[in-house]
Amino acid sequence: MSTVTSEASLLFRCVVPERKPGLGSGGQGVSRYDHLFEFIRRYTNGIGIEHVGAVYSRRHTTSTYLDIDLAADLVSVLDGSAVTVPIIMGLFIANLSSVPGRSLILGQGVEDYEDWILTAEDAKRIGPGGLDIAWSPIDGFPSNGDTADILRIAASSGEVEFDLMIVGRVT
Amino acid sequence: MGLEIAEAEFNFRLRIAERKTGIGAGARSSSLDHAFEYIQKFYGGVGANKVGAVYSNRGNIANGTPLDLDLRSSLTDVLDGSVVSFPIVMGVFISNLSTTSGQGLTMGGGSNPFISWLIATGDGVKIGASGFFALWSPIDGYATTNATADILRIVSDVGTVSTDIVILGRAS
Repeated sequence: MSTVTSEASLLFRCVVPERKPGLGSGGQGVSRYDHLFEFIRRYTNGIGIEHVGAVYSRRHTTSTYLDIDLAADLVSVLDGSAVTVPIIMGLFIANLSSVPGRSLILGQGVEDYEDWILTAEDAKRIGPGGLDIAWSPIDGFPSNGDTADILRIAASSGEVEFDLMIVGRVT
Repeated sequence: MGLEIAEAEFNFRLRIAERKTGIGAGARSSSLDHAFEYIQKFYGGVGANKVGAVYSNRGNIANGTPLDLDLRSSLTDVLDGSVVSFPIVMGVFISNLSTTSGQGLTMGGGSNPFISWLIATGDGVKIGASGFFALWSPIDGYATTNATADILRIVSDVGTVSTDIVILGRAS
């Protein structure tokens, strides 16, 4: 039995049209600019930079915090086997709450997984209805299997449901 | 007449198929299409889930020269050069256009830092080469404070890094 992941298809597109009316003679002209943030890539399966070799995805709920051991807690939904991700290429989190104030706090666990942040104990907030995405296909964010591999996701208040996807490779 | 924001469209989709081979009689396969999707539209205006201001730029950040974006008084609009102010930041999207290993960016820190998206002053995140960072909070947003907590600092780790930056927000 073996595990195979297909190529990863990633599309992120944010378009915000902006207009300035009332221009020119007669005041009837309208200028327009479509602000665009776009990231569209495909990554093939394998090892080495810009290759995807492992994936974990799950929907979670927490009213306190969830400590995810990146070296021991990730299991495949297909058969429960361990998912090993020594080099995390991407963290994708969606806060599914629609209640104001119900944020997620990402970071600050014991033996904190910290390669994606500036220093240990740094943490960030993901607001309700919001997203947090960190994608690093070349260098990735390595975890340390013994001392820096705990990803803590905490609820700032109430119960928060969230989607989590972790993508990475072995080397 | 001033600038107007039409609806903001988001389309985020990540798909990876996982297969387990050699299972059961006949050594067949099971599979799961892992999917992370976010598809939303937000109208222009004020209040939760409304977008009232946008800034976008492509620029170079040299190592040793941090890019400090003043979210309340120095960003200018591409259409007419007017100041774009973000009392509430809803989203920050940064793409690291370098393809060189090690040429990462860091975001956070500096003087009078915009910190409501973080837990403490001095906190920050890394953005690896050929990667991107997206932070989006349409309901609560992240408040800035004029003159004391409104600087978004982006630093190059090595060399000069080309970046795309888009910031969305609203007045209240």
